[in-house]
Amino acid sequence: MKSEYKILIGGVFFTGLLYVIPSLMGYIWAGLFLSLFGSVIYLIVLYKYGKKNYINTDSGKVTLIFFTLLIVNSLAIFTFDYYRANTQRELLREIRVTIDGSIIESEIRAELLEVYRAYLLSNEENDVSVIDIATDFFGERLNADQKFQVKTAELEKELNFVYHTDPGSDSFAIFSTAPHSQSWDDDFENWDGSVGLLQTKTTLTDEGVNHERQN
Amino acid sequence: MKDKTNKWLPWLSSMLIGIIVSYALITVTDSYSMSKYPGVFLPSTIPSTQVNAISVIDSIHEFSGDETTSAFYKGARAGITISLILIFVVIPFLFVKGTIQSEKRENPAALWYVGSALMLIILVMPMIAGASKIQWFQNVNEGSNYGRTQDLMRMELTDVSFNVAEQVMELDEISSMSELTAENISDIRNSEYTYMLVSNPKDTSVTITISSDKINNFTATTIIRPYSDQIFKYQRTY
Repeated sequence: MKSEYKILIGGVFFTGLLYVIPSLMGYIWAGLFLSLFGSVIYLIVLYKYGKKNYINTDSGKVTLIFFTLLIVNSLAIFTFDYYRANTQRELLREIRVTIDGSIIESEIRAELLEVYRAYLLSNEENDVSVIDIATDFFGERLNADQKFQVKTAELEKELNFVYHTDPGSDSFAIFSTAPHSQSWDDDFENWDGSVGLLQTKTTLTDEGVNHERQN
Repeated sequence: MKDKTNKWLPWLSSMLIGIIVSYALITVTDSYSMSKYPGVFLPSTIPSTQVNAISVIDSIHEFSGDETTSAFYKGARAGITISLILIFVVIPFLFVKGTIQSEKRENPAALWYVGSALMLIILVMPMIAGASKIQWFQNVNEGSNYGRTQDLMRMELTDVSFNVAEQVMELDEISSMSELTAENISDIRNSEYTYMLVSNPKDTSVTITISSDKINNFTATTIIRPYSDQIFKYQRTY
């Protein structure tokens, strides 16, 4: 086999495999940049082969300019596309977190505010606890496994809710997590065993309702 | 003069071939877009666009909670691998091989025309695409910044509305609602946005409007009725 075809076949395998192997492991961008690196080596070998066989010295210069432009162009556009993909991913995550966060706040905080209203009205006559009022208000929506059923049942397809009572401080809290919203801290341990998801804690005490985003 | 013209003639010819092939590629891509298979399956002059497409589809699926099929990944991987091999291996090889053949024959060989035309395509098309990508990205960035600020304003308004609802519930007398002004609410006082608060003791409601002249006069309003079934609701958003 002629040496030029050996270079061609070597280039095909080298460039192809350097993309395919990382992409099979899920690293599509790493594969793309590795493949570019592999092709730089191939283009150097090809340029040297061409230079050795060219009769006209200008052909070597034209080849060098073309190959350099190809590498520089590709590196610039690959880097830009990589940055663009990351920005788009972050933007979509941010939108999802904003949507989930807003739904949780509107739903849960409004529910606990209704309980707080009931607590303030009941307390005008009798001395009652926040936990008693909340337990009475929500009734069967408080499951034995600590799961909290929200008023809008469809939300439970996308979000998870649990409740927690603390008789010591007379507080009733609802923890909400969003399984599709990766949030600030990727290592944050959510109450349901998942990691890094959006989690909020809405707490009702005798002083009112406090809503905080924990992750 | 004649020699100089003859020297550039093959390059002009290969440029012409390049333009024709580019149009052919665009036509093929356009007609392919109507097929049931995604565009990333087709080799492209810019492989990073295909990789970016996979990333975006992954992100959208992460957003919606769906999963990408393995058939899609296989097809896309094949499309990208073929693109990389064509751009970085086959086309440069055709160019070098064509140049060597032409020099031996002392006339441009057919292989040279093919190699140089394709070489020009893979050099010029990413430059044109890169310029339009930058322009598009700037527009998207500007739009998403507006959207982000509007979301932040809505979230802040929701927070303020809940706090105000709570304050109204805690009042001893409904008539004290008239004392509830924007200046008395710390969330509003410390905000970078403009607020308008109107309390109406007659029907125990408070109307809060948030606005900002920085983002095309965006305005959002909530009506708070602490003693109704729906404690607050958005009235309108421009």
